[in-house]
Amino acid sequence: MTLPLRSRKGGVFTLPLLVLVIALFSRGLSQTAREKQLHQLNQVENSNRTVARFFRDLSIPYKSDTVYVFIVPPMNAARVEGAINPFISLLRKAGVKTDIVTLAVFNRRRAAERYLQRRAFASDYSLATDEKFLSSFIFSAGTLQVPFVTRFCVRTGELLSSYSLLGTVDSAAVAWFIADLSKPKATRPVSKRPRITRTKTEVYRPVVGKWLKLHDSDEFPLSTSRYASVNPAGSRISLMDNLTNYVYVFDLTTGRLLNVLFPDSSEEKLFINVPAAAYQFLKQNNVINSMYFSHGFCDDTTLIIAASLPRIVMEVTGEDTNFGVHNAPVLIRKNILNNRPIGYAGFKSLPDTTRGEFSHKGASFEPRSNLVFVPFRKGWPSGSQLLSDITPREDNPFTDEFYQRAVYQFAAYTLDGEFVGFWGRLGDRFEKLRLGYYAGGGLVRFRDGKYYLSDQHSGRIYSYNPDATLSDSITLFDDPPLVIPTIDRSQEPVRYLVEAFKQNFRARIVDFLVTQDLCYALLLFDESQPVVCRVGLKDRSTREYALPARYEGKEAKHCLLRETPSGVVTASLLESPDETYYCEFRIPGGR
Amino acid sequence: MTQHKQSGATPTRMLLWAAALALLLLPLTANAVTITIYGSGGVHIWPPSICPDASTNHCVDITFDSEDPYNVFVQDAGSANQYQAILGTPATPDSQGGDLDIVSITPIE
Repeated sequence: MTLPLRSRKGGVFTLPLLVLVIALFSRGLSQTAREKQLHQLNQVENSNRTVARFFRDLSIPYKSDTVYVFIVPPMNAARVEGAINPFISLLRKAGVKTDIVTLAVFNRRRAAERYLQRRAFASDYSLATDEKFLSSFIFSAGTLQVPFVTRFCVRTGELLSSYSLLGTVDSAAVAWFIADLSKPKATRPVSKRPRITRTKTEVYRPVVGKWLKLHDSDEFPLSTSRYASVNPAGSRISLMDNLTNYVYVFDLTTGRLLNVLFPDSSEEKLFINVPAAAYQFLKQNNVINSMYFSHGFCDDTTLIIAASLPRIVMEVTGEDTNFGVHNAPVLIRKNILNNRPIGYAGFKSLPDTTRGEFSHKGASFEPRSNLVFVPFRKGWPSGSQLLSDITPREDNPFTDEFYQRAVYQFAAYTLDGEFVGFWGRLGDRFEKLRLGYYAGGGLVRFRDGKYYLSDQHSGRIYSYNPDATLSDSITLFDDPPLVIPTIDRSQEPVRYLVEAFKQNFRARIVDFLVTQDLCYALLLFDESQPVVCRVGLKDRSTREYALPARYEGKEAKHCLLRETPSGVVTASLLESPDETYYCEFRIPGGR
Repeated sequence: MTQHKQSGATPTRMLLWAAALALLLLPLTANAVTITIYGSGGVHIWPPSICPDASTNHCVDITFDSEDPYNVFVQDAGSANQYQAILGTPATPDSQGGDLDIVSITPIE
């Protein structure tokens, strides 16, 4: 059976015919469809047998030798997942009868299963697997960041085609994908990591200050967390859950899940004004996503949260209808005990004269100064396409013009969403390496009238006066000498960015705090070795303490540093596939 | 034309190209319901999330073709429900449908 595709004048064509014709030209079209995409997925040479075994172990009674698989990093690109069900619908309309599988790649089992239930993808099978599956593939961005649709030969395990859903989803793209036989493959690149000059790490035997199991619920199993905050009394921790984009609040005396903060339907519809049927359809297709990100306690019971609420604009032109799905960046205050909003404030736009945007997901809150700092960014890589000839030079990080104006580090806002000004400047190394804002991010902390700014990757923290003038800097570690990879930036711009970053930056500053006479920074070397670096503000003496990457048989994720009456401690999560423990490691404070 | 000759095109192949072009342009003439998801997109180091910020960049462009823009919602929402209802059956062929059948997979070696 074929499903008709109707024209306005009543003519009937069939998608399978389109597929047949496109198949004759698939080679030329494959270059335009996939090779212009920013995110690409290739199979590692000689991994076919591993992949074939994987498909065999699923015990699926495959209808044919071909299977369509959506490979999804759950909620990493939540709104892009809105393309999955429409793609499936178009595949079915094009006559595809083979099995369609959605594969959520995530290491926390219960959370992944709950995610699949909630998202209700229209595939035949919705499965969860852990990240080891990804070892058979190479991603242009270095990691799996967006959902891909792929087609495999089940028997041989060979990848026949792949397509990033960060792009165009229509009948032509689906027809191309069905016909494509390009079998994208790649060899694993060999890259060197730099050596960083570090002071000798102290022999530090972990001293655990607090240890308790976090009791989540079947409705809200805790996944992983990018943003965390502890209330001033140290009795509650709030964690942004990566698979729901909600904020979970746990009691730190009992480990009980106190509350889950999320946008109820009235909050979600604040910026939506479309017919009910349209809202229902967009919601069912996972296009509508409300997202809570970084947050901070204003007091022991009030959280301020940086959030993206969906803003949907419906435009009817003649007989065509377009739904523009935007993010409305807002600051939400909520009482942690009842999920009731205390107030909303929208982030005002940056001045019209500024070429650039801000990224509120990683906002740094400083309630004591009534300011919130959001990382500034501009230019490519952005959108869904590779750098092209029509990219303006001011948006192209490989040109001098990019760095001539508007190279700020942060935009500062009041907690009411009013723009205050720009702070800091894009790090020197990013300019010299022509990395632009590829790394993004940044942290700001406030102490004794000074603001401390970090780009999270360079070894320095800069202190600023309240009038945004530079005051001083603190060196956590020496940056290694610059290495410029021998990659043609015009031919392989994304690979250049990935390799240049990898070869020149080895540590990420997860968190830092400044006390009266010391600066403590929680560093993650190679995304695997946690270290606390302590620097004297007067004598600049440096000590380092290696934290455990695994503890008591569980993976240790150190979220933040906290000053307590008895000294500085970490707020750490110990994770197994099904359980999470909260743990505090005491950091030595003496000389 | 010259380009086609240089690539060794035959009249039949040229006709096929024209047919392909007509079919590709078809969605442009049909009534369309489109969804444009705006966001910064890009590639990221940390945090790795994609498209949660306000931006004028296109992250995803989805096009449905339909004579009646509202019918597409009814039809597709309906079919989505159907898929959901039968999701349980494929993994357990003897069952009569029901809840979502979620399978956790043992990691590959």
